[in-house]
Amino acid sequence: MKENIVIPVGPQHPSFKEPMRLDLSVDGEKVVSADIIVSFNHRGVEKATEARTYTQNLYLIERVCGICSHSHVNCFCQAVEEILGLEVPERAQYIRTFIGELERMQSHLFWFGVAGHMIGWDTFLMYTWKDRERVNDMLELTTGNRVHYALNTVGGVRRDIREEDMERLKRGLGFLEERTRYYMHVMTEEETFLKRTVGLGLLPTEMAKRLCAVGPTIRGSNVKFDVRADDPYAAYGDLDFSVVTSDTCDVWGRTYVKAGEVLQSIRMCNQILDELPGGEVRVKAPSRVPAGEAVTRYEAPRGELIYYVKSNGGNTPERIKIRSPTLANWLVMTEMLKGVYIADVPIVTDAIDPCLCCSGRVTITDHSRGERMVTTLDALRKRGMDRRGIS
Amino acid sequence: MGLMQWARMKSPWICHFNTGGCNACDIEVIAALTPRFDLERFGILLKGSPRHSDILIVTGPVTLQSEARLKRVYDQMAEPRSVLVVGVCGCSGSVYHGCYNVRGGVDTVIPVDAYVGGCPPRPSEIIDGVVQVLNKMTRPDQATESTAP
Amino acid sequence: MKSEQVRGLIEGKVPGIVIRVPRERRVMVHAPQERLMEVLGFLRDQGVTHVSTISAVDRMEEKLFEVLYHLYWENNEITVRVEISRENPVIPTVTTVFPGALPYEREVQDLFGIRIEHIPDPRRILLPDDWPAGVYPLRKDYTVK
Repeated sequence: MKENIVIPVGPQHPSFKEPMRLDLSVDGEKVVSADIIVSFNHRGVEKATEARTYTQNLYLIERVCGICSHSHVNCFCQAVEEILGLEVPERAQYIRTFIGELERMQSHLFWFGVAGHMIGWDTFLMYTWKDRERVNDMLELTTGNRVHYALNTVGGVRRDIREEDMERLKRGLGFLEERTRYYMHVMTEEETFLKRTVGLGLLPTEMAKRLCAVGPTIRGSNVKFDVRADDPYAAYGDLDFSVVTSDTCDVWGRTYVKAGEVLQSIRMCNQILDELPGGEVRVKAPSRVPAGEAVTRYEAPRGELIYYVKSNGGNTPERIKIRSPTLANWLVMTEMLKGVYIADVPIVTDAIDPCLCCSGRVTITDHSRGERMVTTLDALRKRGMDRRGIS
Repeated sequence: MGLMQWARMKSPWICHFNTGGCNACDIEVIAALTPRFDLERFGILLKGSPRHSDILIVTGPVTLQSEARLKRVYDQMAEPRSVLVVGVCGCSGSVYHGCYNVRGGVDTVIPVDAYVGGCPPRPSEIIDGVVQVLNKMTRPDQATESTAP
Repeated sequence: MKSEQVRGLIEGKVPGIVIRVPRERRVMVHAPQERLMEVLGFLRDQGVTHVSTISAVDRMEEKLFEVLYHLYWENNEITVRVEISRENPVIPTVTTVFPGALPYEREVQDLFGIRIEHIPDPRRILLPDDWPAGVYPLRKDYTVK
C-alpha cells in the first residue's frame, strides 16, 4: 500500500521538551532517509551575549539549556578565567565538578524515563523520575535550586558545601547507587527492554568518528571520546573514573553507556566529598576582561560542549560561540534512522538524547506509495507499542 | 454548577507546549506528573492533543518559528479553554527579551489566564497555577491572587 | 600528545602558517586563506577526524571575517584560523575533508552570510524559512531592535 506519511508531531507532548521536525522518506514500514529541522528553538543567544556584560551573561548562558545549565556556564567561566589568567581555587573546582556530575546523573535518569516512555514503558518513567527527585534534592541542598543553580561565577563558585550537609549527600549517593544498579540489571536482563533496543539505530564506529558524533552516542559505538579524560578540566585530573563504552553500536549500547556513567558519577561524587580540599571557594575577578580569546571544552551529559570566547577589552564580549552537543549528533541521527521501522523512530531519535526535543513535526514520505502523511511522535510511539504487542 | 463544569473542575485535561524555552520549565511540568508530586491524583491528565484539553500550559519565550504554531494550537482547543503560562520566559521573554528570534511573552500571541513566575517554578507552584486557572474557570468571582509565597 | 609535539608535526609543512601554543592542549594555527584546504588536508592525513565546530567573527572595521575551524586530535584542540574579505566572503566547503563539518558550515552561512562554495546542503539551519534574505543577524551591523 502506497502512502506518504507526514507526521506532524505537534509541538506539545508531555514527555518532550523542544520542537524539532523530522522528515522521513519511507518504503513501506522502513525508513529510507531522514532529515531533521532544528531551528524551532533558535533564540539568538550568541548575539544577545554581545550586548550584555560578562556578569549578565552568566545568567543568560545558564539558560541556553535547562538540563545542562551548569555545563554551559562552567564552560563559559573557564573561558573567561583563561583570558584573565585567573587561578580558580581548588575547592571551587571540586565543587564545580560535584555539581557537574550531579547534573549528569539527573540528566541520564531523565533520559531513562523518557526512553522508557518511548518504548511504551511508563512504569520505568515513573520509577526513574521518582529516583531523580533525590538528585534534585541534593542539588537544592547544595546550590539552593533544583534547576538553574546560579552557582558559578568568574573566579569560582558562589556557595560552599557545608560540613553538616555531607552526611545527607553521602546517603543520597548510596541510595542512587543501589537504584542505578537495579536499572542496569533491568537494562541487561529485561526481555521487553532488550527487544526494543538491541540492534536498533546502528551506528558503526567508523561512521561515528567520520561524522563527528559526541557523548554517549559515540561511546556507544566503541569510541573512547570523553573530554573529562582527554582534555581534563576542573577537578577531573585528580579523580579516578573510567570512560564507559559499548561495542554494540546500537540504542542498547547508548543506554548501557549512560547507566555506566551514572555509576561512575556516583563514584566521583563520593571521591569529591571524601577529598574536598580546604580553602576559599572564590577569588575576586578583575572587572575588566583584557583582549584575548579562549577555546574551552566540557563534557556535558550529551557530549562535548565547546565555547570560543573572544574579548576586545570592552565591557561586553566581542564574540561567544557556543556549540551544544546535540548539533554534533545531528548528522549521525539521520544515518541511524536509515533502515529503522517507523514504529522504532521515537526510540532511535531519542537515543542521542536530543536537547532539541522530539515534539516537532515528523513528515514521512513513502516513495513506493507516493503519499505524504503527517502524524505525531506520540502516534508513532503508540504504533510501536501496538506492533510490539505492548498495551 | 452543571455536570460539564463539575467534570472540568474535577479532572481538567492539560496540553503542554514549549514555544522555544530552555526546557527547565518543561522538566518541572513533567516532574509534576511523576510520583513525588503526582498531578494525576487530582484528576489532571496530560494529553497530546489540544483538541482534548481544557488547559494549555505554555513554557518558553515565543520564538518566531513557534508563533504561528502556538496560535494554531490555541485555535484547536474547544471552549471553554484556559491558558497557563509557566515560567518568566512566557511572561515577558525574561533573559531572551530583545533577542532577534524571540517575539516576547505568550500574551503577545494568545490571551493568558494565569502566569506562574519562576525560573523555573517548582512543581508545587505549577500545581498552584493550575488550581488558580480552575478557580477562574469555574468561579470567576472568587478567583484570588496566588497563595504561593 | 603534547602540544609542542603537535606544533612540531605541523610547522613548516604548509607555507605561510603561523602556530601559537597559548597553553597545554591548545594549538592555534593561523593560515592564509588560499592554504586552508592544504592545512586541513594535511591534518586529515595525520589522522584528524573530529571537527568540534566552526566559529566566525565579524571584524567589521577591518573589513574582514575570521573563520575558525576547531578540530580535536590526540588530546589537543587545534584551531585553524583564516581571514576572508568581508565585502565578498567566500570560502570552500571542508566537508570533502571532514564530512562532519556540514552543520557548522550551514550555521556560518545562515547567520553570517559567508558563502560556502560547493556546500552539499545549502539550506538554512537555524533561522526561520521566512527570515529576510540578505539579513545576517550575527554580523556587527545587524542591531537588535
